Amino acid sequence: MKLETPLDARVEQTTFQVGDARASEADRDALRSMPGASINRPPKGWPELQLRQIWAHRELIWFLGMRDVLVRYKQMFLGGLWAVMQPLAQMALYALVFGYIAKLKAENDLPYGVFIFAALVPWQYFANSMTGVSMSLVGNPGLLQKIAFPRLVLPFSSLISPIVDLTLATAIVVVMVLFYGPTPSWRILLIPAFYPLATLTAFAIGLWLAAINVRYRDVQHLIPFAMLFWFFMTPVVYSKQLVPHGVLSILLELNPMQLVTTGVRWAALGTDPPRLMSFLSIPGVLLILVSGLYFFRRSESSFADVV
Amino acid sequence: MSDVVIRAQRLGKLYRIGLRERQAHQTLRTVLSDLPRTAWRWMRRWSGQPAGTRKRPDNLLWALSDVSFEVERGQILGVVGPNGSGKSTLLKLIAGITAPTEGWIATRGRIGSLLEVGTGFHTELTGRENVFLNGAILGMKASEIRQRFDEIVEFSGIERFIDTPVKRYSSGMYTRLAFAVAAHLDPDILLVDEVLAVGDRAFQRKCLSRIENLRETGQTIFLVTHATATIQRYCTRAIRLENGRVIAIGAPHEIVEHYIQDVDGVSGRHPTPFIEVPPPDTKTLGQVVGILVMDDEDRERAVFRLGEPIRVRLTFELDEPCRQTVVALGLVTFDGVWLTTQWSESCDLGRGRYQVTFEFDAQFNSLSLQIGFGLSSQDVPVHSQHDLGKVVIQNVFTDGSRPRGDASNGVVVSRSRPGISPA
Repeated sequence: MKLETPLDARVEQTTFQVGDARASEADRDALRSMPGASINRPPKGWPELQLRQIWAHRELIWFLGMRDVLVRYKQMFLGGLWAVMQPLAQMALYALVFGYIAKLKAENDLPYGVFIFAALVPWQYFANSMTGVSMSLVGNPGLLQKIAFPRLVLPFSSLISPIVDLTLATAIVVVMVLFYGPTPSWRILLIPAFYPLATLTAFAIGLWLAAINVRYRDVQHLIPFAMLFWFFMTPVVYSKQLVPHGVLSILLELNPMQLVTTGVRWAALGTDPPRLMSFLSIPGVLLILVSGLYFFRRSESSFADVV
Repeated sequence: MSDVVIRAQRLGKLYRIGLRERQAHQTLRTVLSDLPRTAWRWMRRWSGQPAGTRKRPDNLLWALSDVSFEVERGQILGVVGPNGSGKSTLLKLIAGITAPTEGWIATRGRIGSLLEVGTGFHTELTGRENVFLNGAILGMKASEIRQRFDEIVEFSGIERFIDTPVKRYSSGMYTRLAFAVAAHLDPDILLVDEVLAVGDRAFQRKCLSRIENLRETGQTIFLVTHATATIQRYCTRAIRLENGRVIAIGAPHEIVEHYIQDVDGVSGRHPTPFIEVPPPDTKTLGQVVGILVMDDEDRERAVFRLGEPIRVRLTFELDEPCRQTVVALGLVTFDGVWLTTQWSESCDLGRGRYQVTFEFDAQFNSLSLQIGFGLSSQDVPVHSQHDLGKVVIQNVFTDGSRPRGDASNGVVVSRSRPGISPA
């Protein structure tokens, strides 16, 4: 029953090495009598990512994620319906403003509402995930202050509950395609293939924001603004084809969420597939992810003190 | 090889206490305005100069400094100290919740930290859901929780409400369930921070006996509590912290005694409280003007050895005549338990100053006793105050010998030793 590895995973699982300038001879002697001890000492330099510890804590991630899901759907009369109502209502509004009033044209003369909805679903998922990740630390001060566990568990666990909404909303997309869209092809199975990129982007940027948010609460006020900008810089309520060629269209191609929305539209509605160039955004997301992980690990030692 | 499971070396933890500038939650504005200074600091750090040398010292607080100790397997260590002495910070460092500023602390084995009851409990979830969530948060595997689920629920004693959202629980039920989960954690090192003060008496007893069980299985326990009696009863060693430093490590009853003595002061001089007639007709009846603690040769003293006679002379003034008055001396522990009361003879008293001398033997285990004063007459029903003076009794007989056996248990010490004969 007893675990061999300690659970307080934030503590380095190392002994002082010979030649470690930080350990005196007496320290090394003191530790020699404690084989396998974990050491808590002042953080220095760049930390290891220790992703294996995250895997070891997968159950905790799952339970925390399920907590969010349960809490979200408990005590709600309409329950899961909200996950569907919200994007549907937004779709109606945007279709009214951009389709009916502004007379924007959907690709392939698709019904404007369906055209918007297919992109709105992954966008909403992305927005929920990113907000969840960036609020995951400041939303759990009790855990940070009273329990030792790898801090990365919190952002990971906050990725779980948006998936429930996404699943429900995706079902509606499929139903809509069957009723209003073109004859569905095998491509409809590829809708979920674009979701992981949304997850990855939300997680990568959310990690940075989460760690900064602990110290600077301004981030909370910044997020809604940033999301609004990003929303309109992503082809959700308009077609990518309407964007004039130039700097803006190139920037648009490098927006990873453009790849997601264009991709989902292509899979669901048979519009133009994403251009090859837009796959260049993936290495960029990975770069933000890895740097975010390091930044997070580096700043986490003070989370309990400043949250 | 000694079986050391926790070893701390020169452990220090520095906190920045938020004066106006540099608050814990900085805003971007202050960061931007501080940018030149920050950049300068980073340059210094990169160029090899230690960070923080320029920090203003009045913003900084060493919550712990230069703390070194080691704990062997199976010990139950009590930590005493006033609020703000660094007890909780120490537990956080052991648990690895936060990193030290200096020194290091090494631990062996799985750590269970119980720094707060019900961390991570969510009020919307049912008891059952919270058991799993809280168990996972405390570091249990889902399979472990499933295996012990029935035990946990039985321990908590709230079987009927296990599928009710905990927001409908009474605060007692809530804490019982939370503690039950924590009590079934099976760590090598258990850290407990002042959480035993929850629940009713029966539940507290259950918790303490659980701690005793844990000791028998060789677990190491770190217990922070203000209930000094608990430390004396359950701990095998005690650490006393003061202003972030370890002042003493040793036998629990000695540490606790010294702690109490220092906190309460051993002065022989006393305030002169008023004897007040309780409401509705509140008025001052008189006052205690002096309490003199002496040995049997009338020499003033505050510290006595086991079995020594103690004389306490009470001097009091009456502003009003009191008929059929009796005066009493009480001995009260600092936990508020009245050990004994001695009454004077009853007589009619006019205005004036009176004194009465009580005598008793120090047949008590190492203890600090408060001296209480009581007055009762036809005119005043009963009046008592129990913080007038203080007697310290040391756990050594007058001949210098110590009581044999596990003398730290029990309040009253008897010198007589019955012989054992074949039955």
